[in-house]
Amino acid sequence: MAARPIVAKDYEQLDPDVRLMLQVKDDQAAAFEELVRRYQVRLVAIFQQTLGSREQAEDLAQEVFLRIYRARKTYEPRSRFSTWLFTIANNVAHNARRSRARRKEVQLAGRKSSSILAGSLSQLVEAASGLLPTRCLDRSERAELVNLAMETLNERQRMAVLLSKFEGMSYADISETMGLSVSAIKSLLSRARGNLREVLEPYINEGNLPAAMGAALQDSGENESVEI
Amino acid sequence: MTDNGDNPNNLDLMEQEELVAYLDGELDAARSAIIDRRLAEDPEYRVRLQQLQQAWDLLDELPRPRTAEDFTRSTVEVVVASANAEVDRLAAIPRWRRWLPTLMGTTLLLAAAAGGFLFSWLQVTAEDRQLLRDLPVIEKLNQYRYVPSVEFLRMLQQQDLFSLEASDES
Repeated sequence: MAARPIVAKDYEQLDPDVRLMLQVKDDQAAAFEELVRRYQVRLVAIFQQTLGSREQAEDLAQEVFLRIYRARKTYEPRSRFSTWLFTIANNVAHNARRSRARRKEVQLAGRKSSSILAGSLSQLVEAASGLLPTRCLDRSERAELVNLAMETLNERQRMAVLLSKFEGMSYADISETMGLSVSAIKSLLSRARGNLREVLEPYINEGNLPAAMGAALQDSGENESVEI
Repeated sequence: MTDNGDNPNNLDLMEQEELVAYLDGELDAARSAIIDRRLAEDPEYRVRLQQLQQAWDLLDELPRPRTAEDFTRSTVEVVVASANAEVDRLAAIPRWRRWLPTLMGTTLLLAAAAGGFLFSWLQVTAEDRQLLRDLPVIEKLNQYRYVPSVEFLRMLQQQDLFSLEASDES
């Protein structure tokens, strides 16, 4: 027997966030506040990872909530709430990238250039070049390493990885969110994970910094974003 | 390059897609069983899977942002302020201008309907119009053939026989 298609009532029963959104539709302010509370960190994390700037990430997260609030009166549950929200987030991120491109702002290197980071980066580079005894990277260094590995991915790959890894979305949900076919998502995630494996392989095998990444880390301490 | 997967690079990519989908729990039972068998038999394949998984697990090291304490409040305030501004903007528009799009739409619809009617009317020729006027006679032409003259019909009419027939029909 063929599976019955999922209808609005099903989403309402299955997804508590859909129920909250329906309350927002009925102008219940507390429900909206609860949705903001549930999704704000997740949204900021996605925007920060895809666009780099923390401040911009918070602004864009607010933009997403604003769009959701404006759309409340016409809201009909046709998917899980998170799928709808991240579809909006994907569009907002896409628009932000386009407007950034129009301003011709070029990020010449990684997002971070603080002196704290630069200090630890130079240590990483020294460790990689053999000036210091090889040692295990500490947590912040590992975080930076993974950050840089993520930057080797293109925007779509990065978004798909974040939705899969941190939102636990299925390929079907990611495809709906990003407006791509399921097979395209399968391919996107495969390539992304292959790239991550390739970049992180030296660290995985030996527990220290990949040499090629040392140069990138060094550069990220020296360069800043430039307006042209 | 062929599309049928004969190219070694394509094979490699397809193999990786299957492996990643396996790790993501996106394969059906039959395809998962194939991967399971290969993992049991092929140590290199196992290493590849482990590396993919370890690289994936390293993403847990990415710092998760902590939003400011008042982020929720400020977001709600921004949204409410924006919604209020929208209400104010709508209120500032005179009532007649708010209805203007509806009015224009209705007018256009009526004009289109009138135009359509006029157009179809113009398509009907004078001959057709005459036929339409004569339709009641044409419909009863067979009966009229048995009437000897117009005077006889007038006589029937004077005796109110037509109205009786009409009431019988109704």
